[in-house]
Amino acid sequence: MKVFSIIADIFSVLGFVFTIAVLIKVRGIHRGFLAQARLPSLRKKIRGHCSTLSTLLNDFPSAGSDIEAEIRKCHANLENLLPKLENKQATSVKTLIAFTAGLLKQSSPPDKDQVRKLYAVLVGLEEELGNLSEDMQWKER
Amino acid sequence: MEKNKTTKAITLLLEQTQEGVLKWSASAPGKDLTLGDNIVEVMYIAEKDQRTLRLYPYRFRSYTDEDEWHWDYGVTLELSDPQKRSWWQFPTHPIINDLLEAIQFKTVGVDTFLDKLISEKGEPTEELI
Repeated sequence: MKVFSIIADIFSVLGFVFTIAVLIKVRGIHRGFLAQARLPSLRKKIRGHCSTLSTLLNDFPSAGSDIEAEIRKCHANLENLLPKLENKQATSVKTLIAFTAGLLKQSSPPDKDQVRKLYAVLVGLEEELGNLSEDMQWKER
Repeated sequence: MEKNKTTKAITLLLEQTQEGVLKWSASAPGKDLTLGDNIVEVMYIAEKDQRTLRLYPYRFRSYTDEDEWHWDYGVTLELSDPQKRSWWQFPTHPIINDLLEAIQFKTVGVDTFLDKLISEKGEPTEELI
């Protein structure tokens, strides 16, 4: 009887571990599915932000509050993007979110160098997202 | 060639164009650009470190069926040797479109034109108020 109880204990622990593993796997599948569905459109939005920021940089002194409005939109899209990404890409998006949040919080409007830096980082992110989308297509096959 | 390297290079060209450090001029496309299927109406040229940079937007027929097509668009950025004998194309990248827009903005002189126009007429919003 005691042996049976020990075996039952072991199996219940194993069952618990298995449940956790399945939960993690399901979460990963859910995230992957969501990413696959949303990444292309979010990447397009990031491209749109790059393009708008570049246009505003063409005549920076006249850009005024348009810069801040664009950074605000970009910040919102980055926050939307974050839960759909895994490790490496998530880390770079987190850093970018912190950067845009800093720009929005600072007392003076963002200067040209800050906007240029944001543009360059967004271009890099856009490329990363493109590679990620391609990787996902290959994973599917 | 590493893609990151060319992306960084194009970003730098964009920055120098926006700052007015790199000057571009518009001209009619060379003969080599008008021979193929692509339609090129204007090309922009700049000199940098004894090399010539050439950027041109083009359009081409994109066929969806045997007799169905629509216009598609692209932009090419090229670099030549000092004798302008051979051209190397930068890989296609969306930021080349940003560079084209910056070049057009600077070459056509949009900002000075707008400034002059506004200074001639005064602030339109003031009159409305």
